[in-house]
Amino acid sequence: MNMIEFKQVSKIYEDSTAALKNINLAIKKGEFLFLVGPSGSGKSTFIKLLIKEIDESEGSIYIAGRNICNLKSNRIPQLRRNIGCVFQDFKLLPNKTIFENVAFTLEVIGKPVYEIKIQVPQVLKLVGLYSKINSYPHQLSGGEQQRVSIARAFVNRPPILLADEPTGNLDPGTSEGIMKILSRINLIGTTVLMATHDRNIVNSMRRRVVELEEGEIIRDQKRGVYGD
Amino acid sequence: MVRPKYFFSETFTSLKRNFFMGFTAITTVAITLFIVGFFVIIVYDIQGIIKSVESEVELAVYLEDNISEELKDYIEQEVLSWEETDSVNYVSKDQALERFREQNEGSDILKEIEGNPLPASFEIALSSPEKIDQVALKFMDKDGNYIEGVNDVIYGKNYVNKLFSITAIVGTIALLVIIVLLLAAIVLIFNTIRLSIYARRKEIEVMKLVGATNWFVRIPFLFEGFFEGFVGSIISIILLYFVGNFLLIRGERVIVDTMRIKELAIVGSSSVVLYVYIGVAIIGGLIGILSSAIALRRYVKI
Repeated sequence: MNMIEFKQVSKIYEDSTAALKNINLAIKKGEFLFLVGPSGSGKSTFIKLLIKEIDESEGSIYIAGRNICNLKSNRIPQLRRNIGCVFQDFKLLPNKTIFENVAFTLEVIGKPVYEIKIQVPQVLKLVGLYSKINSYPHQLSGGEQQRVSIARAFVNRPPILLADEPTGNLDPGTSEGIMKILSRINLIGTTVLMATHDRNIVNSMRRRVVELEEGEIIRDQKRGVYGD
Repeated sequence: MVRPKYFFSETFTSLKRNFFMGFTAITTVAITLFIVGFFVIIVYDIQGIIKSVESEVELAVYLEDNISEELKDYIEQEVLSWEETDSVNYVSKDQALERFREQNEGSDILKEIEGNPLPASFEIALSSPEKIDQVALKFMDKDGNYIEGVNDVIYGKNYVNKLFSITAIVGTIALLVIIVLLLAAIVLIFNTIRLSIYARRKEIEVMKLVGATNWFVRIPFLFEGFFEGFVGSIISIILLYFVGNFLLIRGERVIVDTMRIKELAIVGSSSVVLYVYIGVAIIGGLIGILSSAIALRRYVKI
């Protein structure tokens, strides 16, 4: 079954720059996919389309078999609850503790307190940060903050996890730790899509690689490498 | 469903953590609404002073010397029956002379007087002084002559009309100033609350990212806006209360004493103060919640 499917999707911004041109791509459930390419090749646009932060100009996008193109705006929150998101800049709330940052996702969907109290520590153990549960983001290193943001994205077990340059601000050793966590999440059955231009990571993981250049797919390779 | 408790606890933790922004918003509301409220009370009191000057406007109806007792009584009853009439005071010829002597004591003019040239009169105080023209006309017949028994009607026409036109101008200016002040207060409060929401746009972004519905994002901010507006207005009411009771009343007493105005709608004793308090509280809460709602539109729209 295809978890994500792009059919002839194009995105042209208002200033008439074409960010994506006629994209056709299917990603299976449980797959781990690297989206690679230089800055401005359309990776971020790809991810923004999936969470409907922006709308496509042409074509259709299917998530778990459902066309999200004509999704009503009041159904968008529901869509986003099924897609965890991790960003280069972590997007943690500085005035909330680690526990509260992660619990936030569950509060938003109205989970009862007792469930939040079980699930948050669980996921923090998964990312190895249980000991920092009452710290604030500024007391953590960059790598630790990114692990919190992964915990926040994953705490309600979404079927899809999107990561936009999650290791962009981190050193190679720390990045490796992040990749281990993403692999583990993928192993549980989560579809993971990661946009990156971190050559070493792509080469060491040996997963499916889709390369974008100027808004077009120029390579789609199983167990691929970053390329030249 | 989402627990209502979440919204309350979220509102108050966020107020605690964003103390400075909240403090700024509350202070802004308190100060601006205080200025507006203070001005409304002062204007109302000035109107009160003018009113009491107006109420001293009287109509003097001079009677003919040979008027019969019946006609005199008839006119008095007639005047008393008009709704514009507040009171009627009869001054006989002797009383008029007596009064004239008191007012001109020691003057040469008294030596010139032979007999009693002064007419008897009715002094009519009006309940609605602005109708003085109409009342004066009632003493005339169709042809513009005074009715039988009446010799003359005097009320300082120019003075009275000038007084009323000044009252009208003062009223209009005061209304304009109040409107401008109120608008300034609204803009100031709105900007402050918008800034505090702008400062937290990242939080809103994250909320939307993890799938919060628009209302879920909005409600704590609306609560917060309401809370800030309401607390600010309560503070301004407390300020108004103290300033009104301790400064205004004393200041106005001085004015009343020096101007010898009989009575005055003084702060604290009049119901307008209560209305100002209620108005300030409603405006405060409303501005708070509306400012939040408007400011949120930019950040919450998906």
